[in-house]
Amino acid sequence: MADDVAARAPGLAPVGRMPRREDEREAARRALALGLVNVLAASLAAAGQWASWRTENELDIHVTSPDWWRVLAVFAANLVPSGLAVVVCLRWVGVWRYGWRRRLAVLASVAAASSLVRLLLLATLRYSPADLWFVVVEAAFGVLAVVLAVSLALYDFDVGAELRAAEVRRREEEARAEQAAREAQQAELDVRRDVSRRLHGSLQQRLVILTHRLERLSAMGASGDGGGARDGMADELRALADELDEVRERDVRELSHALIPVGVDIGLREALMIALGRLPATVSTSVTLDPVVLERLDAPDRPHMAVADRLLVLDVVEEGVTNAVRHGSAHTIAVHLGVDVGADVAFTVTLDDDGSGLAPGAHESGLARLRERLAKRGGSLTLSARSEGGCRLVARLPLAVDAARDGGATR
Amino acid sequence: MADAGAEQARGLAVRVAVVEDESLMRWMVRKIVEARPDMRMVHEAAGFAEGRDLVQPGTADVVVMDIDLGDGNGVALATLLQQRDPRLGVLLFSSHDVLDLVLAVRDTMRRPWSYLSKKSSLEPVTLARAIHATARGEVVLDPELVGKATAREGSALAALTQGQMKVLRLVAEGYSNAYVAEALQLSPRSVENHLHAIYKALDIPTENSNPRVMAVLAFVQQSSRY
Ligand SMILES: Nc1ncnc2c1ncn2[C@@H]1O[C@H](COP(=O)(O)OP(=O)(O)OP(=O)(O)O)[C@@H](O)[C@H]1O
Ligand SMILES: [Mg+2]
Repeated sequence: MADDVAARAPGLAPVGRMPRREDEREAARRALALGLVNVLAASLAAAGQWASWRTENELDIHVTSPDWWRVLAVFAANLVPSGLAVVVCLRWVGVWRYGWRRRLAVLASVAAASSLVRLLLLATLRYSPADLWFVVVEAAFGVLAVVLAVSLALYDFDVGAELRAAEVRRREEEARAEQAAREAQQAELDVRRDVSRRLHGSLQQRLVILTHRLERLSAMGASGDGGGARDGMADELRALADELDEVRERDVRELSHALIPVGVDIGLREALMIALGRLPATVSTSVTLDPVVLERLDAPDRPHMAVADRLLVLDVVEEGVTNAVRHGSAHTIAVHLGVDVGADVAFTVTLDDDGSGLAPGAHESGLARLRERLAKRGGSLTLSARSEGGCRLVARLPLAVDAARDGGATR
Repeated sequence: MADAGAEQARGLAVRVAVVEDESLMRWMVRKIVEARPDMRMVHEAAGFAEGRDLVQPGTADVVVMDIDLGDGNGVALATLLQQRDPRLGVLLFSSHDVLDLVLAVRDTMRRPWSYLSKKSSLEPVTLARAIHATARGEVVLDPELVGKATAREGSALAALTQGQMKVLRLVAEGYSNAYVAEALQLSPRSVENHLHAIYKALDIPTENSNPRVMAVLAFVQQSSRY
């Protein structure tokens, strides 16, 4: 959010960009030191100049020798008001917090005040000519010394703030990537466990039984000779073939679907249609697409959507459809894939069902998990009741500009 | 098989290309194709790149395409080939049930695709029938899946009579009207009537260039196999 402000108003000071307090304090201290050094230098220069002017003054106006204490007094008359002005701006008011307008307003009034004080102090020392131009130039000098000192300090502060913000962003990005990698590992582990459990469980058991039946059959073949035995064997062989086919159909295919849903390598739409085709006959579904999705994002010969994103969208649809059938007893579900151009360009999936609608106070679990996954990609998920009955589930997934990097076609 | 016979009589053996990464499967398809006088094998490719280079426009009528190729996917390749040559028929085959792909590609391609499971493709008659029907521009579906399909509740398909459904199933398997008439013991005329009733029930305009294909696609869309 801080980035947005800066991005929308580039002329403004990076308000709130400072993510870390100690960083900010450090920068403010630096600005103060820089401002003070500046006015110190200006005051030294002013005093030095005055001293030399005193010596070289050839006009006969109240000429006195430049006593050391007078030089010191002029130096102090320069330094104290300007220094105070810098402290007021950078320390008490903390102008670095504000935008340019407010900074300028504070700076102008503080500089004017300090310049006035300085002039009065110099006047009490009675060492200035009373000429109007001289007074104006002196006043301008006082203002300029403060303005320059504070501006330089602020410039340094802003540049530093930008660098620090970039550094913080980089650190955050790194942390996010690390987190994502950890989660991906965990997810992979979960899938492995699931697959291994299923391999050990039903599939292995069925194969053991099949092997046993085949062995019995072979024993029968070795001993049996009558026609009746042969008939029995043919039947048993037929049954075994059927059983094997069911193992292939049920266990192996489902397992492979659990690993990677069929079609997800081809395109989102293809995977969606295959997944929706699996629904029981009591549910009817339709898929519609914005033409731009078809042409730009999901053309089968050049899919521009990362496989991970396709899997995410597929999971949203599967969860949404399951919910609509399970909680809403829906009969028809319309899935729409579109592109939404809002604050950013985002891919959207919308599921409209004709079920019983949203029960109040529903506790989310599957949806919450999905929302979390979407949020990690900068996306969002909303479930709402439709005015005409049923529910609407909308998932939003911002499109990365470099979404094209996943050229699935030739891999 | 009447249409195939006619084509053969005109000396138009269907030119078949196969793209499949498993050599055993490729070999079996070739055996089946070569055993028939009304077809001939023109290209055999083991992967995406080879298929892209071999199957040049105008050199084949039907490509038999595996979906999982080692170096890419068959759907992408078939899309590419058909964009280069809109007259090329595509017969997908896969060990997964990807019948719904037929629907998915319909929106992108002008000419819809056929689909057979690998198991069914190993039956010579089935594969030959599918190749011929695909060459004619029809959509052929895997017979086993057609058998399993039941109409979704509330769909137009669910409103078909049993007789109409029987006709539509056979059409979806790539059979000609003559065969359907013989198999169901109907007159060719009543098969025609059934078909017209089906088009009307499924809301398919008969002036549509290929109502037969539209009816088969509606069959896929409005049925479940699970
Ligand atoms: N399409 C819908 N129609 C009606 N109610 C819905 C619908 N989708 C979600 N809900 C309500 O929202 C709740 C939260 O759904 P969510 O998917 O988060 O959890 P769940 O389905 O109960 O559990 P899990 O997904 O872990 O199996 C549901 O319990 C249900 O009450
Ligand atoms: Mg749920």
